[in-house]
Amino acid sequence: MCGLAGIELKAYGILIFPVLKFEVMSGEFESRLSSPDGVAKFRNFVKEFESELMEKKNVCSDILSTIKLKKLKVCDGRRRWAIRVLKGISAVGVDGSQIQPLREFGIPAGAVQVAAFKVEHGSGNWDVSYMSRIVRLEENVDATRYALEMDVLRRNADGRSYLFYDGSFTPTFVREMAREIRSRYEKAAMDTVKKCSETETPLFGYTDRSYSRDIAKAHGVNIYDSFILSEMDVMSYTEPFCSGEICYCYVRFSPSLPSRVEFPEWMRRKFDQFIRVLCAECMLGSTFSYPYVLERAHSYAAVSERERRLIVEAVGGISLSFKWVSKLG
Amino acid sequence: MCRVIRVSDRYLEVDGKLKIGEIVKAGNCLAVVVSVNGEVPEYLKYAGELNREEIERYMPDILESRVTSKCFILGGDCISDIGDEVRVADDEEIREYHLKDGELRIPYFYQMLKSCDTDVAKSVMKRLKSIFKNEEILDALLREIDYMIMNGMR
Repeated sequence: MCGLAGIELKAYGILIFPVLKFEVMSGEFESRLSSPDGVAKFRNFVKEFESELMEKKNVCSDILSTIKLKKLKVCDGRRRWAIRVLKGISAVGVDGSQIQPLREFGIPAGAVQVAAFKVEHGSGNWDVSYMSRIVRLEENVDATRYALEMDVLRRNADGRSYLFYDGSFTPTFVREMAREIRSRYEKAAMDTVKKCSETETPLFGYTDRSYSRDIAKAHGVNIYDSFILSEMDVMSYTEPFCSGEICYCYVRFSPSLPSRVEFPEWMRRKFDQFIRVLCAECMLGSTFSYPYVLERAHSYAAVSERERRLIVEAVGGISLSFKWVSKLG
Repeated sequence: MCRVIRVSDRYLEVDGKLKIGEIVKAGNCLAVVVSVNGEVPEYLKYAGELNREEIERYMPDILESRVTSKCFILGGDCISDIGDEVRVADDEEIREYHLKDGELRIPYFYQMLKSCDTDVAKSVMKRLKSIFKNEEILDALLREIDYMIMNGMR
């Protein structure tokens, strides 16, 4: 909800605070925090913060009233509804994990591991496959992981399966990166969206906690979209917003903040039908707000601390000068 | 097929379920299975409205839980590495492992009694007895283990 107070403020503080902190930050003072002066300043800070939130709430309500929302009707219990929707549907979740170069052990390479978890709902057939790559010390591990995840999605674009990816096809953080790395991200994402469009393979990029501000920017404010939409009803979703070949919408299937979903433009034609499948996958998940196939892909992709130890033991290190290694990384 | 996933001085950890008391071979090591450990099945996280059959048909992988077996290495100078295949040792391998200059030797016996359940130690001795049928020392060791078991029951 936009008007957050008391305990809700605490819960959503991570999302709200980075946007507001510079607006309400007051100066230093020369006394202890617990002194009467310190306590008074603290109280004033919280009051200012609350009044800013109230202002934002009004802005949010105005914007929200301009967005078309739809609501899903789920009957018979959420999981039972979900299996009815998913009967006969094949779903693939793709997620990756990484190991940064293990400099402390003298191992001059990192690695990425991507898992594709595939399940045919109703028949009980399932499979998990892996794609891994060793990454040189001077390479960007994050970009390599993203490229490999996109590659695995394309390999599964069979025109039949629903593909789920844990992340965005327009990641906002790449804007700050060097052009070469940025274009690597963009190319990988666009190739995947194109392949899925050509084969008409449904593709979802699901971001559970999104820091995008696309809706906000369109209305000339600087707030996170998920904050604007935090008063959406549970089990509701927004209309699709499109920019070029990629569209996005927000869904709220649990009391936590809405999640962002990206998908190729062609999926707009049967948007409601696709959202039903996405919702059903979330209803099978352990939290009801994150797709089951992604939960499973995540658990298969993870490199546990134990595996990391095993790799270090098995590979062994080579004696490298820390000074030399730090110049490479 | 089971594979070694962890190695320490005295133990191997194997991905998969083996029979407790079985003598197995990994690399050039012989080891005896001392325990089997299963992780908590993941379906507990998802259990709710759906029955087992529905979970099997819609969320099939969560019914599987990972099982590992811990094995005590029999002997000191062997080498086993992560990824080595693990299988039940055959009689000839056990015979060769325990013979030096034509004589039966069980250098790990004392350590095995200290580290493993008496049932596991008894199982190893019984397997040796089935191979070295005429070795009376094995009967004596088996009686000793039985005595330890009885003594522990008092």
